[in-house]
Amino acid sequence: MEENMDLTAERSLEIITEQLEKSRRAVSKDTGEWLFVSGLTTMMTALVVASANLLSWTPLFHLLWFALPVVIWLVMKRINRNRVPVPENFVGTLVRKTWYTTLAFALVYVVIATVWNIVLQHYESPEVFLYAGMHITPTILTLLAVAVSMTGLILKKSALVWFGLLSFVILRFGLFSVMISRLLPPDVLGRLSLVRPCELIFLFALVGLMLPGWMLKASPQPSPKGKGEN
Amino acid sequence: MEKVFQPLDPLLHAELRLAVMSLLIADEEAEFPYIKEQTGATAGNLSVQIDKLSSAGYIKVRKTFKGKRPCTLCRITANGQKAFAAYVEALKSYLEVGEK
Repeated sequence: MEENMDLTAERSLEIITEQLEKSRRAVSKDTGEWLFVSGLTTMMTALVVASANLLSWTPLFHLLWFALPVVIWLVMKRINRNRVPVPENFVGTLVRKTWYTTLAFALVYVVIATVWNIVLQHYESPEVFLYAGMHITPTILTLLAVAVSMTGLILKKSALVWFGLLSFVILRFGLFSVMISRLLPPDVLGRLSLVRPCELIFLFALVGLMLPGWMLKASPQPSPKGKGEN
Repeated sequence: MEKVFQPLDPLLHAELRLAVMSLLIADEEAEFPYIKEQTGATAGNLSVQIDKLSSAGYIKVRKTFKGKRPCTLCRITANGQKAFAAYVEALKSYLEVGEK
C-alpha cells in the first residue's frame, strides 16, 4: 500500500462526503435550471396570453397554455445541447418523480375540470356553475407550490421550501388580486377579467419557479480539489 | 483490549479512485466528462484510475456514441458496491480510534 500512505482516514471520509455533496449539488443546479426556465417561459406565456386576450377580446388565447410544456422542453433541450448531463441518482429520481406526479395530477385535473365546467355552463344555471364549478388555476398552482416545497425538502434547500409556501400563501389569499382590484378603476378591472388568471400565474411563476430556480442555479459549486495521481 | 484495525482496500485507498467510487455510488451511470468535472482530475489521470477500477471489477465501463461523438459511461458494479461498503466499514475502525 506504499502509494497510499499519505491518505488519512479523516481525508478519506472527507473525500466521500465531498463527492456525495457534489452529486447532490449537481442535481440542485440541474433542477434550478429547469425551474428557472419553466418560470421564465410561464411568465412570458402569461404576458402573451394576457395581451392577446385583451387585444382580441376573447379568452381563446388561453389555449396557448397547452403549448407551454413543449416550449419548456424545447428550451431545455437547446440549453443542455452542449452540456455534460447530470447522471441519474436517488436525489434526482426523487425530484423528477415528485414533478412527474404533480404534473400528472395537474393535467388530469385540467382535463376533468375543463370538461366539467363546459358541461355545467351549458346545462346548468349560472348559480349552479358558481357553486359547483371547478377552480382550475388555484388548484394547479397549489399543486405546483407543494411540488416546489417538496423539491426544497429533497434537496435540503430551506429557501425553496419557503418560496413554495410563499407562492401558496399569495395564491390562496388572493392578496395580489385584492391589491389590483383596489388600485384599478372598475372599467379597467372589467377589461382585466379577460386577463385572469394570467396575473396570478405570472406572480406564481416569478415567486414559485423563477426566483428559486435562479437561486439554485446561482448557488456556488465547491471548486474541485485536484486529486493526486493515485 | 487492543483495537483491531480492519485492512483498507488499497485500490480504494487513493484520493482519485475513492472520489470516483464515491461519485458512482450516488449516481447510477455517469459520463466520463461529468466524473472529470466533479473530481477536478485530468483526463489522462482519470482514465488510468478508471482502468484500474474496471480491471478490479469495481466499475463497468461502457463505450458508446452520442450522436457522432464517442461517449464513455461508468457504472459501479455489485462487487464495487460491496468493496465500497467494506472500505467505509474499515474506515470507521480508524475514525473511532481517532475520536477516543
